[in-house]
Amino acid sequence: MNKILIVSNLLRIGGAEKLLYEVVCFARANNLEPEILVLDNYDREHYDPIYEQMNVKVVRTRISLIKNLRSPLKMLESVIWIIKLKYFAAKLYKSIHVMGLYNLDKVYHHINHKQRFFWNVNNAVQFVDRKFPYSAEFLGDENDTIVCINKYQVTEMQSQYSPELLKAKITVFKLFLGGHDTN
Amino acid sequence: MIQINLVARIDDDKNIFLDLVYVAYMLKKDGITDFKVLFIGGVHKQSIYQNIVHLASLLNVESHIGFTMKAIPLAQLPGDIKQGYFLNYTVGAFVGYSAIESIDLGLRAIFLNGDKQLVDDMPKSVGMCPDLNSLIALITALTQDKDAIDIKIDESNSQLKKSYLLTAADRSNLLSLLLPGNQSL
Repeated sequence: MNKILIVSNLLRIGGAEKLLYEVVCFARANNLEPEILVLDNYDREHYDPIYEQMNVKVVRTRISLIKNLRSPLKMLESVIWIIKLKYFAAKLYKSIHVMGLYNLDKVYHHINHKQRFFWNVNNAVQFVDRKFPYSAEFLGDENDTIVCINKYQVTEMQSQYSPELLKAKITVFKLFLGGHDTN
Repeated sequence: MIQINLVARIDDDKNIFLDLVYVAYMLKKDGITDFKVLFIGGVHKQSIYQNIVHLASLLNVESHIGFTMKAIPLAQLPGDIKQGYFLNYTVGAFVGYSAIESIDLGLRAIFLNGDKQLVDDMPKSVGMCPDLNSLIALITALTQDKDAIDIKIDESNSQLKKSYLLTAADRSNLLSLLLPGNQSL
């Protein structure tokens, strides 16, 4: 079975979370095995029981500042995931998807994989002075792909980040429904 | 009664709530009082919530503004709320998931462009409001000719929903993102 990893920080009711859900459904309908890694959030949220019912693996852990964890078990799980993402990600997963560019500061330097897809789920107008708050260092690897969900994001990113900084490929994929349908 | 529902958590990444307090004020100023604005979502930022309540009070429209104070899945909303119009902010022609989910559940969605630079990009159909004045005009029109406008909104919603279904090309593209370089399964 081809595994993919989807990284996020929330599984609550929300647009990015709905997109993640549809991607998971689509992956399952196409014989892929999606796993979800939720960072820095140990709550039980809206989509947890849904993924349980679907038998989709959800892991909640953190991969930075793990020394602040009080539970030895949680710390051990964090260490395992740090090692997994750094040394075995390419073997374990066909692709890795980070849902929301706002999660990149947590994972960018931890994930060692040639097929990394960073989904941009915000538009510039949502931020102060129409500026994305994302560091350019996360956009500078030409092997990475930024997946925009509307055409405006492409223009917004290209106008904020110069070509010298924005080296990642940019593609657009629309929001969609019916990911679970097989035709 | 025209009920406008806005589904959004009250948080500082959403700078949209005061717009609707202003709309309520303008409607009331024009003598329209048979309406209500309901914010559906959790209060994640107390200061934003307080600002909404404060402005509504200053403009004397607090009786037209309501809050659920918590996130509620659309399908679980009470019937009277489901009868309302679900207002969705867009970025030009881009419509987010809450609108599609509401249409998918048979709810009636209307749209307000939230990016002033993209006013001209807004589709020219009923229920698509390029700016606040258009929204005020739509609500005003609904108080006068609701049934006829509802039919047009429903047609527009139905078309929009279709655009969110995946085509064969979409499926192939998405698969190429999930399984790069190995699309044939």
